[in-house]
Amino acid sequence: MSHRSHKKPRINKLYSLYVWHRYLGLSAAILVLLLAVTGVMLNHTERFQLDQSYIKTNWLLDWYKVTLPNKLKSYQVAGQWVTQIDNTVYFNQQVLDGHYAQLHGAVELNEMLIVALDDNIILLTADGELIEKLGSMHGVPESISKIGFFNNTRLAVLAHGEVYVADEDLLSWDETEIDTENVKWVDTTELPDAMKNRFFSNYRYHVLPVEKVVLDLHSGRFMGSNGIFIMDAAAIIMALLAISGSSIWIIQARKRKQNRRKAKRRS
Amino acid sequence: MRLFLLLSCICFVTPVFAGVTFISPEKFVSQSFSGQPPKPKILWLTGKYKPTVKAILGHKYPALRIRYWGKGHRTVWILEETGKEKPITTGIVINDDKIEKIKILVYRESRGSEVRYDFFTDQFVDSQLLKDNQLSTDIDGISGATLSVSAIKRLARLALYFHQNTPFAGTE
Repeated sequence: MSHRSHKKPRINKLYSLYVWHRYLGLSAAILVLLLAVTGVMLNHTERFQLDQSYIKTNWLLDWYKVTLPNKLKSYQVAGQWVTQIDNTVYFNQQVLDGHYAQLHGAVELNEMLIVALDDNIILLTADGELIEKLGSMHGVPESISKIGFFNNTRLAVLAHGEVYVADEDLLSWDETEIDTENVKWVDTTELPDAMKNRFFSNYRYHVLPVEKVVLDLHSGRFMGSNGIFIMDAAAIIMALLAISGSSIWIIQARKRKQNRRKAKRRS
Repeated sequence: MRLFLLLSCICFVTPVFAGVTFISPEKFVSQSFSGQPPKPKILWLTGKYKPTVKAILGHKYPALRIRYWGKGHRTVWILEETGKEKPITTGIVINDDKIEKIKILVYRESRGSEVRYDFFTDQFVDSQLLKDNQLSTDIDGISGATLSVSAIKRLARLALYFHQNTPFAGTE
């Protein structure tokens, strides 16, 4: 009788641990799978090109509240279109590398297209190939607000209310005392409706990278601000599973050892 | 105390991720010519240069013209190459077809900024470009900064190659 009463609690303890282990495992299974799959995907972002692929599923885009752009500004130059949609600048339909707060104009000079942005001047070929991106280190004034031509030949920009005129090769920019009325500044051009619609439909499908969704699934943010706590719980359950699994193994190993000793003594 | 330590860590770490300017490109050019830099020149990357440039970098150069400064047999180049994710802005001085000086001007990667130290950049001094467009000297790497080291080596080779194609090439 005393032998039985000694053994019973140990069996119950092990059984109880089994039950806990099982239910913890079952409750976390989906989340653990999600963490594992998304974790592997994030480890190989470049190989899977997750940062270059975009979500095109409408319900997902709606979930992320992807709407049409607020800002659209266009300049027509030499038969080409330079357009800004939010912080992205396009040469026709081709995206120019980088993010820019404001597009201030585009002109043609010496068979080059010159695009003026806040703190940069971008030189492009007629095919949209980048010739050079100029910034403050190249002497380009910061906070450009307009671009145009002085005397119809020299490239000029307006920055902080002052006119800066570039040399022929656009290698230096000098502040000059000329009247801003002597400079012909470029104006925006209304984008044709057909192009505008094409931009809008393309825009929505090039906003949300797959990497962002995978990252949000991994961190739990996909489910909202409380999602991270769900993933935290999954991580804690994973730790508990490791502890309970190890405990079960240790208890069983001890039990087997004891049984072997008893069997030896009996023999 | 903990909050103070956390805030100190954030203040210390943030500039590294945002990019650290060790010396401005303008200052580097000016210093390289003892405060009297010449007017910049332009090297157009025409078709004849493109295959070699691609072989050196492992990818196409992202622009068609490169500005540099030259006087006598010296040229100064401000070039950018990506280590892992972000471009490293590097100033390189070539004199008599050899590297005179390399300086990391702006470092934007989160790891590997050890390449900015003189113990690394001094290894490039007097290095020349061999016929196979490799450097004439061996450059020791830095553990944990492999990609940045590789990017700087590529830029050193590129600057030497560009220098060879300027009117300032050759020795005195």
